[in-house]
Amino acid sequence: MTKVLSANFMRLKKDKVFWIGLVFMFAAGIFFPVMRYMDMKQTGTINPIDNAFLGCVLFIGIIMAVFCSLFIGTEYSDGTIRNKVIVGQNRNSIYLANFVTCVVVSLIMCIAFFVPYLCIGIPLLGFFIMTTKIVILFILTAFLLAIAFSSIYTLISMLNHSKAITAVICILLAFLLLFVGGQLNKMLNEPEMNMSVVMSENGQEYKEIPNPHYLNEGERKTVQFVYDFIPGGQVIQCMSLEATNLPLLPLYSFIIILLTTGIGLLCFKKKDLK
Amino acid sequence: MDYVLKTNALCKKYKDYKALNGLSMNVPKGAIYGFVGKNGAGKTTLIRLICGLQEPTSGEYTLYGTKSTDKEILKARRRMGAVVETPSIYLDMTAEDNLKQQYRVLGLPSYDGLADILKLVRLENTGKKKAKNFSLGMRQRLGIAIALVGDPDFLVLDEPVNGLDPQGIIEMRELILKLNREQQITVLISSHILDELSRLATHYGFIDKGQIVKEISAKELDTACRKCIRLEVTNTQTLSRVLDGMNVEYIIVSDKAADVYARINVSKLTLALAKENCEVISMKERDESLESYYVGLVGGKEND
Repeated sequence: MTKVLSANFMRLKKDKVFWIGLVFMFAAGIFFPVMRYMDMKQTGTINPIDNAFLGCVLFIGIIMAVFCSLFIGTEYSDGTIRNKVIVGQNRNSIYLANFVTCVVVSLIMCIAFFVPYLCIGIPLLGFFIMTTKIVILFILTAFLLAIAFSSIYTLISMLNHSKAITAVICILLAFLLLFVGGQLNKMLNEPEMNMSVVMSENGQEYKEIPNPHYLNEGERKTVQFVYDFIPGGQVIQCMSLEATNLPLLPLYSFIIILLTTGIGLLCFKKKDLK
Repeated sequence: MDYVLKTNALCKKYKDYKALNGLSMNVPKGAIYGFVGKNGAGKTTLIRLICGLQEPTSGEYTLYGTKSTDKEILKARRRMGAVVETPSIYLDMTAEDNLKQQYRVLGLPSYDGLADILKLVRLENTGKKKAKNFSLGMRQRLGIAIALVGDPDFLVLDEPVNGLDPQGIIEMRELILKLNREQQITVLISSHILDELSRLATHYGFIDKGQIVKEISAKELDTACRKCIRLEVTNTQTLSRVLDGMNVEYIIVSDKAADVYARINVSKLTLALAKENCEVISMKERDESLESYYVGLVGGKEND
């Protein structure tokens, strides 16, 4: 695996998508605290460093969708994956080397955001309000989330011959996961009672009526689980810094990584390459 | 005889379609093995199987004495290089970077010999030009260069001259001959350009409908395709006596026919045979090429 990995990293150094993604994340890491500082100066509101600290998770799903589909898709479109198989490289090694490459890239992308964010953010906005334990847990969640995204996109890219189709599927999935996460968040935040205007003898009266969209206990448990489990839901929780089951989120990401990598290895082993 | 590759009743099914149907073939060491068949006959499928790109549905093959079912097949495959269909090259990289990638994949400790390989395929002066800007011939040669990294003993080329211009075809032929003669690399070439193949191959395997129809060496094929006159007579014993008397090379092919490998005076021969009460029933000139031999084997139109 190390041989294929070494070849992948050599290719990575010259990969344009990687460098564009890296510059984007670095720029976002500078932009976020500076904007918050300017906002704080203009409005006088307190803008702690915590708020946008995990802003990178919003982009990581999309950036990794583009990177994985193009980096691995090139192996199929240029046919170079055959060069590895023909000279006797084990299929598991090829799959894992591509997975590790994508994982390393996703972690580099996160670090490229965190480093400028903290270096500029702490002097401008001060230190975290959250406890160190929570900060560490959120960082761990963000890293594992990035790896989970890489794992899902590696699976799709390794099992698909067409680079274009892979790119479309991965990018659409990235947005779909975010959309589903947003919808689940909305469902969970529905109030139990809604205020309604009722006409009576005394004129208009405000009355509380039960919200039909409010989830009952069983539904809430299921929706909360899906919200915690899927990467899109985790992105929303990291962005809002409101995670009911924060310690479980890295665990769920870990399960996604294990599942997708296991399925990917099994399917790629049996895949007919053209 | 030592064989680099032996296949035994290989089958490959894609859903209901049988691409290979019990194919058995033998590629001798040091040979240029021409793998002949029309489109869809199963040439590329076989190459995909022996390169490990796909698994056979049934049957097995042996590469350098290692069975395909053996775990050691991965090691045996390190002794081979291949260009399957289109050349496998990173279009966004230079020729040198493409080779460096393959050096890394093979885990070679240094880039020693890289310049020699580029020189061998005449791509040493491409500099920073990316492969996407190469001509088709250059890409084909770069594909072969990548296949040559790690000094393989066995080179598999799938339709290497497809789409090349006449100059490109000549260059490709010279390169293959050079590799075979100077570096003793065994080459398996699939092609349906028979004329080109006949200038290269030392052995042939004719494939049709996923099966090997005939395996033959170039020498045997030359004999089979030699220009001759087929004589059909009433008595081949008399014919034999007369031809011996005329000191002419011939072979008796049946009890009524013989192939004569010489220009003969027909009047003299018929008169001599008539004297011994032997009649000439028919006389046909046979000039078989690789193409007509192939058509004869796979059945021409009825097979299309």
